[in-house]
Amino acid sequence: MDTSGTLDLLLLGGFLAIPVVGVLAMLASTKPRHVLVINFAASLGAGILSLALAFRLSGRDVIRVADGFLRADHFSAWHLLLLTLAVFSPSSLFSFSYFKNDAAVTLGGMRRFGMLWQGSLASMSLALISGNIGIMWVAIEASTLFTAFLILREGNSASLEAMWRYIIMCSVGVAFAFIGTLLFAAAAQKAGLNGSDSLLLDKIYSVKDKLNPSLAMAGFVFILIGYGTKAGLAPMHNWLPDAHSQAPGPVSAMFSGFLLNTALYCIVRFMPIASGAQAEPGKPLKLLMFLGILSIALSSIFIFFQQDAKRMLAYCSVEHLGIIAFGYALGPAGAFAALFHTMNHSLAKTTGFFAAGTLGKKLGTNDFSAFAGAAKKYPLWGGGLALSLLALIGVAPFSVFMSEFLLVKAGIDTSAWLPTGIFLAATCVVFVRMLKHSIDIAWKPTALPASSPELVGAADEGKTRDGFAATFIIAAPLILLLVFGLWMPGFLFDFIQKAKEALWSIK
Amino acid sequence: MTILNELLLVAILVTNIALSGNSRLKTCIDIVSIQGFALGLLPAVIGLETGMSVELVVIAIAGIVLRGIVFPHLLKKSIQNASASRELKPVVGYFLSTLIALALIAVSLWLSRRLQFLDPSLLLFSTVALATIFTGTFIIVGRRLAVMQIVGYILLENGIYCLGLAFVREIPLIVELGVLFDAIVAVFVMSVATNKIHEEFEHFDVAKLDSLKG
Repeated sequence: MDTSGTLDLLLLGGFLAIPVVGVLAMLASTKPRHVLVINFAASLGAGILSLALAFRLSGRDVIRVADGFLRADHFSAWHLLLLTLAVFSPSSLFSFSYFKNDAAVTLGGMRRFGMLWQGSLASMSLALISGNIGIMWVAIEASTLFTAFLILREGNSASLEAMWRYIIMCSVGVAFAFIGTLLFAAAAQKAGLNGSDSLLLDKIYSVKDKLNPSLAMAGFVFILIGYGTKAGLAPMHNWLPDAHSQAPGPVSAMFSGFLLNTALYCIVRFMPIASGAQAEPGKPLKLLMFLGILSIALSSIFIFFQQDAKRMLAYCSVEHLGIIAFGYALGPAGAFAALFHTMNHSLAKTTGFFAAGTLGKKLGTNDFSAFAGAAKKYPLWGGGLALSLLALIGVAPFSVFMSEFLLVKAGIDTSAWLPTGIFLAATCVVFVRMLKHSIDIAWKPTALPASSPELVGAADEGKTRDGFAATFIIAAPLILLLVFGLWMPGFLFDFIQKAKEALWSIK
Repeated sequence: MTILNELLLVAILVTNIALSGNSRLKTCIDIVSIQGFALGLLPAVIGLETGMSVELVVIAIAGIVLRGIVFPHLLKKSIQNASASRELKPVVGYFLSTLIALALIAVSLWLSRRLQFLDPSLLLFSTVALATIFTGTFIIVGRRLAVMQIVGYILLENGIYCLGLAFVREIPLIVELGVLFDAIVAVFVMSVATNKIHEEFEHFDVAKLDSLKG
C-alpha cells in the first residue's frame, strides 16, 4: 500500500515536475534550437506519463494523493491523454518548422516561448488532476496568465490588441468562476462538511442530495459564465477569434486544440453535483444546453461570412465547443459522443491550424482568396488544410462524422428535438461553406499575380522539402481520424465508456 | 461583529465611491492602496474575535503586503512614462459614476438581505463584498484607460476575497495563497501589457484598440 501510494504521488506529481525540469534545462541551453528540442521532449514526457496514468487506472476507479488535493479518474485521464499526446506534443514538434528561417528566433525569444509553453502545460495538467475546486480555479487562472504572452508577437500591434482583450475578458470571467466555487463551498459547509473538505470534488459529490438547491444552482450559473468565458462559449466568446488568429501557429493550435477544452472540463465537473442538488435534475443541464446551442448557431453565421482562414478556424472552435457542451448537456446519454468528439475536434483542429499557420506565413496573408489552389504549390500544407476542413465539417468516413452522428442519436433518444434541429441546421450551413473553401484550396487556379514578390520567394521555398516531422504531424492525425471513423478499437471504446461513468458518478 | 470590523468594512465602501468619481490616476491608485490595507487587516480582526491562528496571520500579512503595497506599486510603475495623468473622457461621466456606485451599494444590500442562507450578522460583510465586486466590474466597463481597467480588476478581486471571508470559513491556506498569487501575477501581466500598449500606440486608451473585427 505504501509503495503504491508513493508511485501514485510520483505519477501525479510528475505532471508538475516535468515542466519544471524542462524550464531548468532551457535556462541551461545555449542554442534556440536546443530550447525547442527540450520543449518537445518535456511535452512528450508528459504524454508518456499520461499513458502510464491510463495503464495505472486499469482495474481501479480513481487515484488519490495528498488528501485528495490531487485526484485522477478515467475522465481526467482521457483529457490528459488528449492534452499531451494530441495537442502539446505535435504542437511543439510543429514549432520547429514554424520558427524555421524566422528572424524573430533568438535564444531569449525561444526561451521565453518554451517557458511559457511549459507553464501552460503544467497549469492545464493541474486543472485536470486537481480534486480540489479551489486549486482547479488557481490552475485555470494561471493558464490564462501563462498563455497571454504567447499570443504576443514582437512589434505586432494587432497581436497586442488581441492579448489585451484576452487577458481582461478571461481574467474577469474566471474571477466570476471563483464566486461560483465559493458558493459551492458554502453550500457544502451548510451540508455538514468541514472547512478543507468543503472544496474537495468527491466530498461535495457525496453530500450532493443535502446541498441547498438554490445555492448550488447559483454556484453553477457563476461557474458556467466564468469558465464558459475561457471555454469560448457564446456570448462570452469575443476574445477568442482575435487571440486565435493573432497568435503564432503552434500557439493557435494549442489554444483551439485544448485550452478551451480544459475550461469546459471544469464546467462539466460541476454538472453532476449541481444536478444532484436539484429536485429536477435537468435544470443545470438546460443552461449548458442553451449556451452550447447558442454557440453553434452564432458561430455558424460568423463562419459563413468569414474570409480570414485563421479566424474561421477560431469560430469553428466556438462551434465545436458548443457541440461538445451540447453533448454533455444531454446527460449520460450524450456524454460518450461528447468525449469522442473532444478527441476528434482536437486532432482535426490542431492539424488545421498547423496547415493554415504555415500557409499564412508562406503567403503573407490569411485570406482565403490567397489560399486558392494552395494544394498544388504546397501539397503538404494546402492538402492538409483542405483535408482537415473536410474532417472538421464531418465528411464521412472521418470520425467527426461518427461522433456527430452519435450525438444526433443521443438527442433523438432523449427527445431534445429543438436543440438537435438547430444543431443540424447550423452544421449544414457550416458544411456547405467550408466545403467550398476546401475545394478552392485543392483545385481552384492560384489567385496571386505571378509578379508578386511574395510568390517568387514562396515558390523557391515551396521546392524545399518539408521534412519528416512536418509530414508526420499533418498526416498522423488525419490517418487517426480516418481509422477511428471506420473502426473503433475495443480498448478505446472501453476507456471512453469508463470516462463517461467517472463523470457521472464521482468516486 | 466588533466596531473595528465595521470600521474597516465602511472604509472599503467609501473607497469604492471615491474611486468611481475620481479622474486622477495617481489618486485612484492611492485609494486602491487604502482599500488593500483595510482588506488585508480584515482577517486579523476576525482573528481577534474568533481566536487567532497561524493561517489567519499569514493571510493577513500576505494580503496587506500584496494588496496594500505591491499592487499600487505595479500600477504606479505602469503610468510612470504615460503622458496622461487623468482620464478625460470616460465612457460614463464622473458625476453619474458616483451615483451609480451609490446605487450599486443599495442593490448589494437588497441582494444580501435576500440570501436566505446568510447569517444575519454577516449582512454588512456581504453587502460590502457584493458592492466591491459590482463597482469593480462597472469600472472595467465604464473607463477607457488600460490602467483604470486594471484598477477595476483589482476591485473585483478584492470583492471576491471579501465574499470568501463572509461565506466560507476555513479555506485551506494553500488555496488562499494560490488565489493571492494568481491575482498578483495577473496584475503584473496586465501592467506589463499596459506598458507595451503605451510603447506601441503612444497611448493607453483601450477603446481605440479596435482594428480586429468580425
